[in-house]
Amino acid sequence: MSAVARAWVPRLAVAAAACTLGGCVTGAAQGLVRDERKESRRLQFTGTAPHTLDARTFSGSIRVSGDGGNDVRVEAVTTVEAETAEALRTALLEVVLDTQEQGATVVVSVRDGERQACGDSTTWRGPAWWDRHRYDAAVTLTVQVPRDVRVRLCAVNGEEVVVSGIDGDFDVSNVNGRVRLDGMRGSGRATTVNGAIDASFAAAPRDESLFKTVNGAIAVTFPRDLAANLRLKSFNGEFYTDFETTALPATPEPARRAGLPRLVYKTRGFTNVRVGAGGPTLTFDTLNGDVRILRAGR
Amino acid sequence: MKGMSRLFVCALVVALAGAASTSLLWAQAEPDAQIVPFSDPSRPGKIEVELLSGAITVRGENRRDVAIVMRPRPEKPSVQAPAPPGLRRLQQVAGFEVSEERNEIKIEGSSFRRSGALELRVPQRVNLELSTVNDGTITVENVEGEIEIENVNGPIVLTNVAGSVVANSVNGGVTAKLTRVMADKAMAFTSLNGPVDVTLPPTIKANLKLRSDQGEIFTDFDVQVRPAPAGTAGATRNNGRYRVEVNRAIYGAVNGGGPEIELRTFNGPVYLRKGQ
Repeated sequence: MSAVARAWVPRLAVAAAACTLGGCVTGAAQGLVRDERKESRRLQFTGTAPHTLDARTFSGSIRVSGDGGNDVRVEAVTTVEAETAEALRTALLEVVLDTQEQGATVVVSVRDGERQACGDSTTWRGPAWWDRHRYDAAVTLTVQVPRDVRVRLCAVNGEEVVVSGIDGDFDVSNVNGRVRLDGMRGSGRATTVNGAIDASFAAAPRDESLFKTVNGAIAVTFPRDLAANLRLKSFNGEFYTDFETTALPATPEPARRAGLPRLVYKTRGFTNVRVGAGGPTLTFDTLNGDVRILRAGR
Repeated sequence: MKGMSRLFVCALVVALAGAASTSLLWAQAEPDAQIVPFSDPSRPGKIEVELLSGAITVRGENRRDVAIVMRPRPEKPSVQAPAPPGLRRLQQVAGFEVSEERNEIKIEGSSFRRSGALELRVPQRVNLELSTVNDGTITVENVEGEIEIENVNGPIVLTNVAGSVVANSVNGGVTAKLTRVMADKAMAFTSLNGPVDVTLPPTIKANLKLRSDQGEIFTDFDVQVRPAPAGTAGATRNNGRYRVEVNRAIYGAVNGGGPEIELRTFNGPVYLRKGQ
């Protein structure tokens, strides 16, 4: 994932350099050719439930909402900034929206010139310097799905990845941007690197769940009857809650240390507390930011 | 013969079931703790604890492994910003790492900022080397072995320990009750800013060195006071000035003398008590 992120950064740098060479004093991207286009598609689930939406983009946000419909409605907005008109044409040929109906799974993935999509193998090398992209493209996906689907979402430079009103499980990853979940009823994983995580649950997760970022705060609202074991970690932050909690001891867990025969156990820096009678383990992990566990309707 | 083997199988099953239920009992009794075994439980192991912040409590029990748990402690509210309205701050527990190698268990806490109360349940026969800096008492109970303890900003309390002890605190008192001592081992109980209160077996044979710079020394032992041994009064010549420093400690023997036991503090009383 991070290798993919790195591969995309130079494009932004190239765009900025073009602006400088073009002599744009105001900082506006004069000399760049811009284009924005919209595309809509409608896709069907055919296999038996649970149905899964697998949506991926590199640059650009993903917004998924659940409703009473029974198909998948996708709107993709592609924004391109290119150094030349030629580069713009290349961008529009290379950056494509690839949708597939695979039975119980609908795949909506944005693929670049190398046919890569977010989350693909990180051993991919990218183009040589002389074949570099002379454009910067972002595709924002807005998807409406039946409420009971599972969502697997992947973005790298997404300003935000937003899921709302989904009853199924979730597996959501972003890198440079925030993650927001709203009115959720499933369990899952929400991760980013540089951005906050905000989530609210209409029903408490039934299974273990993870909320993880590096540079950002985490705030999650749960129903008042939450019963769970919380694992919390922040290097430079505090934990706050308005739930009644019972402090649990930190217990070191067996850890492998490569090349050493000795036994090693680590607590990994987590603070453990129980809410209510306890239940699934919910993990909240950040480096720089506070963690807030909030009661709905406060 | 056939009956015998059936009986043997029967006994084996009962024994296995017994062992299983015992281990189940242990697991139930210690759901929070991490159990760390010694690589050779037949020999006395050593436990080394090095914390920067937090208390350490070690209790000897009839067991062969070590149960480890770090409990949260109430934090001092004065040092922290207030929580947002309607919310409580959850107290963070200090992280630590445990490793076992060649019958030595090492526990290291890496945080000055986060504190906790480390609790160890250990075999009664074990050697200890414990240290912490801030925010905690070091407590040891029911342990026999070589015990070495360093605290900086907190007291040391040893109860019902046996073997040999070296205990030093800078800004806390040292309290120790020893039931048995190793015949040939020197011991020291020292503090800078705290009382030193040591109870030793009544039959102990020892040479004592007792000193309190700003306090008094009390004992109920029959101490035969002796002159300071030769060489403890030092003379130095510096820039033409001749300086003689006489050691201010009291030297004495109990029960005819033996290995040296030192009780020393700068600020505070020294108590040497005769045990039961």
